[in-house]
Amino acid sequence: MRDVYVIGAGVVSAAGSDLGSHIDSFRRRKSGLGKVSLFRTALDVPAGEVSMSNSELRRELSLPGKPVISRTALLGMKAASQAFEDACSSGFRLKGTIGLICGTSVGGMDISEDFWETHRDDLGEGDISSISMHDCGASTQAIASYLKSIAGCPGFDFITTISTACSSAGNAIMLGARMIRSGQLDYAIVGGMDSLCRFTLNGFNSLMILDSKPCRPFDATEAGLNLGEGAGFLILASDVSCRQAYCRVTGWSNVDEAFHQTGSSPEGDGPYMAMSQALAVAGLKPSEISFVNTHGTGTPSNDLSESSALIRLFQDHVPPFNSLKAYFGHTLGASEGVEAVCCAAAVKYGIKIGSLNFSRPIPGTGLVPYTGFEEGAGIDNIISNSFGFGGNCSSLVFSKL
Amino acid sequence: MRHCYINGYALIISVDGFDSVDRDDSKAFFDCLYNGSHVPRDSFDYKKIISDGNLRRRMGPLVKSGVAAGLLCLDGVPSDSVGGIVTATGLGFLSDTERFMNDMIDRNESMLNPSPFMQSTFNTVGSHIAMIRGIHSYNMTYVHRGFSFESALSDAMMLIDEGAETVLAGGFDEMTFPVHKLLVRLGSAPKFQNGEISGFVLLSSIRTGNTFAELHCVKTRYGHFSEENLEKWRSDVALSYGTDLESAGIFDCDSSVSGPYMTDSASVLCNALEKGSGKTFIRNDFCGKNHSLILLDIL
Repeated sequence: MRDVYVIGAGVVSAAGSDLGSHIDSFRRRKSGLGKVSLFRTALDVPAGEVSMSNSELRRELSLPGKPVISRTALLGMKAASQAFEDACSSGFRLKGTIGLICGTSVGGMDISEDFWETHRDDLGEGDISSISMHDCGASTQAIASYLKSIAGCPGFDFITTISTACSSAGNAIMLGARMIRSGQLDYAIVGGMDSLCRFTLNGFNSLMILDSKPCRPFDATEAGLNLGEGAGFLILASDVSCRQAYCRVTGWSNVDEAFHQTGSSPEGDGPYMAMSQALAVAGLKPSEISFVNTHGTGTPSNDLSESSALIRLFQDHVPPFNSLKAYFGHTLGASEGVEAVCCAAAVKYGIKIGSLNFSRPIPGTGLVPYTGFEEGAGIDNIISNSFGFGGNCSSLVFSKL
Repeated sequence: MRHCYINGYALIISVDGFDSVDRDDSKAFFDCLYNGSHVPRDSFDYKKIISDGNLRRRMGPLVKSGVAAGLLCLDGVPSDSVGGIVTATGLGFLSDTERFMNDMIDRNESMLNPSPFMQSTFNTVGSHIAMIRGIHSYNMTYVHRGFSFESALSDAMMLIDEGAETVLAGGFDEMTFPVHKLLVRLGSAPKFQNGEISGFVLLSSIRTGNTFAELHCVKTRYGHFSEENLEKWRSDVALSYGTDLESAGIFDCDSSVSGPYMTDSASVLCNALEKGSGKTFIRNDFCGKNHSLILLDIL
């Protein structure tokens, strides 16, 4: 069994265009949530948009005007190439068997929904190439081609796409870690990407779980989530001589709560099982966890469930915990990609990142999230959670080298 | 690697409009292949497999088909012995996606029914099976074109190797008339125009009297290669498992009933389990870029 190291990281979200700008947002406690400006929608809710338009992203990535590329893929290319360059700048050269594993929930829906609205009455019309990126795998393959075009990035021996709703990227990281541990891969580029679109915005609105104000995770007045977009990727490696690595991925788990298609049990069965099993894989006791990065969407259902699980697992010694959702929204399939990058940096630099928009705890749980900001804090092990529709609960453990 | 056996399989095909010679173009085609026998259409009843009427009525066509095929495979298997449910779909629940999209446009983004949105989520089949059977273990969904089912099957094998006793793995996709029209324009439409196909297998670490096959490996290879290069790759895979392509039975995805279809290998595997014997390869070269080989020994 081989150890799994994080040797590179890249991220883009409403909180910033790279890892440094994310840390800066956390330091200044600055939220990236705002009005939807990049596409037309009848809904007036806050969202976490990446500030760059598609053409700005294409320009930065040096991609010529054609062919069609979904925003989901563009965001993924940006974060994954940052992660790759980050690993290279630390002196790593990716060789041996290499995998690319992406998580996404919408794929190319941002383009398909426009095509459908315009042409659904006459499907013989319109530029057919614009729907060629509808399926999720198309975005991953576009990212693979882009990475291959970067000098020093060899091809991929393994490539796949995962979609388990909001835990997609968490499960992509877990698969990469398992494949490295078992020796099937030497390096894995893992994470997730999702762009905002009307389809998902309206989907969550139809479920009545969007807050018309900025989300307030774990606060007594919390009333729902805000959606976001972005991408986050890690480079995982088995190389035990890594001195410039961020951290190790020591624990992981994927369980199904099997309770409700879109709701969470108030007792937190799924989150409890996920965190307990991830600790077991890591060989850690609850008392060895320094910090918990919760899924913490801001919906009363999720946050009660997750709080119950934290109390069940840690009892009177719940470690400091946060939710990052008020910085960039819930980025769905990308969420654990974006947040895993933040966790990897938190372990490496000993950063404690504080929750936003908290004033008093949920009655009944009394749990108070960490709301400060601290560097050089010394963090040994972080648990990071992501939960999705269908009862999918995933937890990862990031540990100091 | 621990040995990995296939102890059950179920395939449900319900489609319209084949253009092949041996099937009537104008008539809907139905088949359910379950552990070696065909269930006649008259005696096949979704109600018997998915007994919760409210749940069943809310299900879109592919959700119902996928859940039913998965539950058939799990029939008689204790829930606590299931170490994972791993599903695959290329395009997901198209009927539900279209329904929600049309509602959103027609109703100008207000007062929308959330059911088709919830069901358009790719992991819906896997999670429904988990909920119906109370299975709390690993639950995963792969959505990568011609690699979707291969990824699921290879993850399921890895779970067996990691210690799971039983793992359910399946692939499913549907076609709707509008999407078929679009795929014709893109030059990659399957041979049927409307309907759904779901294929599941039950993997186990234990060989029993009901074991159908031993699964040896699932290999994928991504990119454009010359036919010569691909043939060498396939031979090398065969060789590493002590066989060669000439002496093994080969089932090709493009020759099956469904034509170019993202999770075709799931139904081809089920057909191979019924018709094949001995060393068998399932060969897939989806869109000239997603190449895969599944090697099994059919008992």
